Amino acid sequence: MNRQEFLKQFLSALEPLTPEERSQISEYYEELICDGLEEGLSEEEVLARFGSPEAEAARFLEENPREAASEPFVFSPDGEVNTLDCGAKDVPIRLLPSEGERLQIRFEYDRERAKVESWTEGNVWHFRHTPARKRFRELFGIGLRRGEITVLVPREFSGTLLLRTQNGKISGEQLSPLSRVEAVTTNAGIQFASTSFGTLTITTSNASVRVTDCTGETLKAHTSNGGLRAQNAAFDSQSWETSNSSVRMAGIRAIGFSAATSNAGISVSDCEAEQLSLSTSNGSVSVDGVSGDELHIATSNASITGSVRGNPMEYQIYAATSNAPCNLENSADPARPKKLTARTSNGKINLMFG
Amino acid sequence: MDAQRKKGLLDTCVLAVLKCGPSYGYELIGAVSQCIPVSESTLYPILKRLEAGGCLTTFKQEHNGRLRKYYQITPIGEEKIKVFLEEWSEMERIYAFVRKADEEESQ
Repeated sequence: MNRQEFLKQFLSALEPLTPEERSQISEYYEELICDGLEEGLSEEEVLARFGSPEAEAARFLEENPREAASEPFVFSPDGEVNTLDCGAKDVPIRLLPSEGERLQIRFEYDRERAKVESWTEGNVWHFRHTPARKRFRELFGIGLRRGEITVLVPREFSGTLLLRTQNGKISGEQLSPLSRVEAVTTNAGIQFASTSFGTLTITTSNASVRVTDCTGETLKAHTSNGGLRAQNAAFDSQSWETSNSSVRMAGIRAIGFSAATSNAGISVSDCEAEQLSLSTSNGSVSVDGVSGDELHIATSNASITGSVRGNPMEYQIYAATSNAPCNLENSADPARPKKLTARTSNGKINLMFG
Repeated sequence: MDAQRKKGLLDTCVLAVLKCGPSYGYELIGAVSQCIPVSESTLYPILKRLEAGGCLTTFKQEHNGRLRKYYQITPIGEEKIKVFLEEWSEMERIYAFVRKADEEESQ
């Protein structure tokens, strides 16, 4: 066995190790081996001191017992952190409020099937979950024990949560105010409720996004082939995007609000936004009690209907459709402080003011 | 010898070697083993503990084309040695006391 092979097996027998531990221990032993070689010993003689990599690993673990190994599925950062950087794959991530003092992750997993690393660098706690290559049975969902990463967020924590996974949903509700949350996944839904944020960024695909009773400064939600749902979302700046799926929002308060989809309908009720933009194609747009200084509604091959809070005389209006009636009278009068644009084709435009 | 006591004494032995000058892993093992045998896996936590306690610092120096890690003692480490030597006179008194009682008993 050469020294690379020895070190590899030795370190592997010590797992799990944080990247920091791994590099420290590796460096320490590598140096000792190099020094031994310098003394004129051959690599075999130097390695013979250790016996087998497993034997040395056993001795090492005896002299260096793991701390807090009593709860193997509970993880915490070293010291105070203001950011969690959590990366995972094929497992959902759930945020829960906790009465505890520190951020904590609970995650039950099978050591044969996945690797978990947890380490702290400065103010950032890094947590990584890496599943092993799927065995044949697992590809078909047979014999899977699905774990879920639960992040316990204490009341006092108001920092940043960066959550990344794939094929697993991300959810959180009733958390204390957080300055930044970034939730990224694929093929699974993301939902947040009853929380206030500085910035909330949501990214997924082929699944829906749902935000309920949340407030904040900035919200960005992006998905595809999945619905966008919001109930009582008050963020200064809101940008919602999906495709081929409907958008349904109620109780929106914003300064800037935009929602875009395609091939599906948009329905928005009770919405106050200084700037509002709704755009889709081949799907109807229905607004009920929206108000704003600049309203842009655009679709095609479908109708635009509903009610706008306000006086039509306040608006410069540009409404256009084809092969269908439109109840609005266009006006380019610059004296009018607000703007309303409604564009579609082959569909009626019927917006009432009140 | 009792494991806990041995741990503390090993720490002090390492510091004693470093008092004579900075040293590196392999050399330390050899030097300390002159007094008590110590292995690679035993030395590792000792060095970590001493560093965490501020008794030593580390630096890297080029040696034969690689960077070798050196350990050197700090004032706190030197103070630890001083305290150990001072405690020794108390140890001697207690040793004499126990020895005397043991001899008297066997008479």
